[in-house]
Amino acid sequence: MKKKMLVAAAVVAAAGLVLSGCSASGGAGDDIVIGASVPLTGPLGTMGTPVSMGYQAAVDEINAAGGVDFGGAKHKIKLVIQDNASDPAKASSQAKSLVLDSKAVALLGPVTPPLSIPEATVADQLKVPFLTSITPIRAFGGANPNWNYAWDVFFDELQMTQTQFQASDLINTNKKVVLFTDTEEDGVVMGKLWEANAPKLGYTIVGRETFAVDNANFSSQVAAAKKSGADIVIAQVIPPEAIGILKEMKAQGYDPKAIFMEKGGNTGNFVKITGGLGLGVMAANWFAEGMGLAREKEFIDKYAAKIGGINSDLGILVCGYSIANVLADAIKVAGGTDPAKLSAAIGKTNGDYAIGHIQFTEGHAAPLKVIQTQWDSNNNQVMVLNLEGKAATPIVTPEAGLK
Amino acid sequence: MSTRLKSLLSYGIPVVIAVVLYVTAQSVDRAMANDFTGLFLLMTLAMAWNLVGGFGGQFSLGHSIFVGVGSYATAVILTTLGWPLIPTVLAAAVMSALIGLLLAYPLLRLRGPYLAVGSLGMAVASYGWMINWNFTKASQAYAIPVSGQISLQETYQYATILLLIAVVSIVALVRSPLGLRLVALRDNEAGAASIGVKRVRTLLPVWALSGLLTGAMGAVYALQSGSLTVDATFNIQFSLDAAIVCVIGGLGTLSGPVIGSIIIYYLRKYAADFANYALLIEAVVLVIVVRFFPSGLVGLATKGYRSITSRRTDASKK
Repeated sequence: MKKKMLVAAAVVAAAGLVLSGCSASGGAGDDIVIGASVPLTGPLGTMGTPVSMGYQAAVDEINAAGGVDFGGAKHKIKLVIQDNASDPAKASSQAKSLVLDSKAVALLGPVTPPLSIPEATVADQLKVPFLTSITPIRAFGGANPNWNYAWDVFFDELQMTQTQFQASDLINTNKKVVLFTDTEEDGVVMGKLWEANAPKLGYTIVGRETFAVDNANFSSQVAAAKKSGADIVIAQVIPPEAIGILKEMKAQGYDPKAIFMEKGGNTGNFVKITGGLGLGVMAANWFAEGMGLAREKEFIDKYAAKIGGINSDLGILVCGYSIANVLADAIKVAGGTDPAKLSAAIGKTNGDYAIGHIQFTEGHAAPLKVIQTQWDSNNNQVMVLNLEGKAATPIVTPEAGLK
Repeated sequence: MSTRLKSLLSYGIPVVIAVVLYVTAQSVDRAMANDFTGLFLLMTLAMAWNLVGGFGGQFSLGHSIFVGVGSYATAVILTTLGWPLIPTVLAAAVMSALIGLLLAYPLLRLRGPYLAVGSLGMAVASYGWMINWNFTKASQAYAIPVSGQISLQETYQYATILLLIAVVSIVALVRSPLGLRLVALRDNEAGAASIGVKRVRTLLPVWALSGLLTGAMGAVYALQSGSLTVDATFNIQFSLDAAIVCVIGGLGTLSGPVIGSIIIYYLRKYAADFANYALLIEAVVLVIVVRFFPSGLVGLATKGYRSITSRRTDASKK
């Protein structure tokens, strides 16, 4: 027994020393290493892919121009992207590894609160600047009102949860609404806001169906929604749940006049992946043709064909592109990669980027304004409610895909 | 060497190593501290599982419950009661031990694959409960409050002390009369019963200790992670990891979980660079070990050592 213990102790010590020595090898040289743990696979893979494309596009442009200018020299950026498979635990451990092993001086975030919050926590723990997007700002701030190194650029749920009612004002309905919300941050925060906003805007919430993330069976929830007689369905779900709800609605013959699928409907090829059921589904958006963003046409011309249409995927790409540029500008302003100075420089950002004007306010968040869009048969999301909350392209009702 | 000296060494060596690691922790670089924390937590998990699965022959797939209870109890106590860290970790461990007793009582009516399936069912049910329980924020992330946000080096110190406690308590239990009854039950339940070994009375404290250590591991894991999700903490992967580590190292041995943890931890760390092939590489290693070294690497080493010593003995006789 004693010999076994001795062997074990020796192996621990020796293996630890040898292997930790291995991990310390390698240097970034003059390059600046920026890490990103994003969901390239799993339920959020459809969102992680365009955000990483946006990061890469920005980094390629910056490097093509010689790199980030500070300290009298230009430093190229080395972007290290890892796939966290939509797993919060993996996102957290990868964020840690990117900083500790890959020596990343800053992190670009994944998408959605379940992944962004664990990575933001790691950033605060390790005191490394972290900049994320596609993470609604109240969910981000709700997880920690006192972030130190973590920053978020995305919409404010308060404005976003009014757009569904504003869009519904443009069509004839019985003003009865049923909510489908999962139990992750967005579902909790937005569900409460919809319940609070509805009476103020002349609508009645006749039902709220809640379920755990990744729920696969919606038969009872859809039956209850159908029974409530609501003309409007508002859902805050992940893409697989959105598909499940639409299939169940089709199966039960429930075709309301307006369906809003937030997050679930913000995924490229939504009409195709729902087998056509998603045609006419609406979703809030932060990028669309005719929205009036300065570089709108440039991005549509350059990426719409590649990404498969003018839809949320393109918006996610533009968000990724924009925050990568915010980070590069902050490095320049900070005059280097000192974590505290860099984080402070990110906080002072006040400028126009591809996704619009970015300025951080309280809670380390920079709010973007959203519009409402509707899926058409060309895999585009057409703007139906503009930034002023007024009608744009007429809404097609009832939802065409469920006919 | 006298039995007393042997006993002293088997407790003394781990204590000395742990003290050295603890004292030098603050001078260790953050990456290494984080690495060793992960490794020591895996060792603790595997050793705690090995108590039930290896020495007790109870193939549990429910240990993820203890990790989850330990980590969430830590987060909830720190957030709502604001206790200092050490009492929090202890309370989380005790809570997990109580859950261990609760689970063990019905599970001990089951044997073999039925126990594995029963414990898996409990793990799935616990996950289902937690993902819908608003008290622990359901499927939202539960952030560890500022009072629990300690440096990587401090977390490493907690992991070191926890591993030492695990080693000492498990060695003590295995060498005690309770440990002998445990192994007797595993090897021949009818025979053990015939000499008066009571199944439930023997296994209940073992499950409680296993739950206690795994819960404490969950508590330190919570401190290391910074924020918790049900997916991350009540993940059945913890039970599978513990089993895989013990099978590779050597089931029912003291050093097996230690050696298995080193192999699996660093295999995963370096195989991660090969993306999707990482799982394949791990699977191949596992299949090779199970196929060619069914008693694990410790079994292989013991066999090799015996073979060499017996050859020497034969040669000296000639």
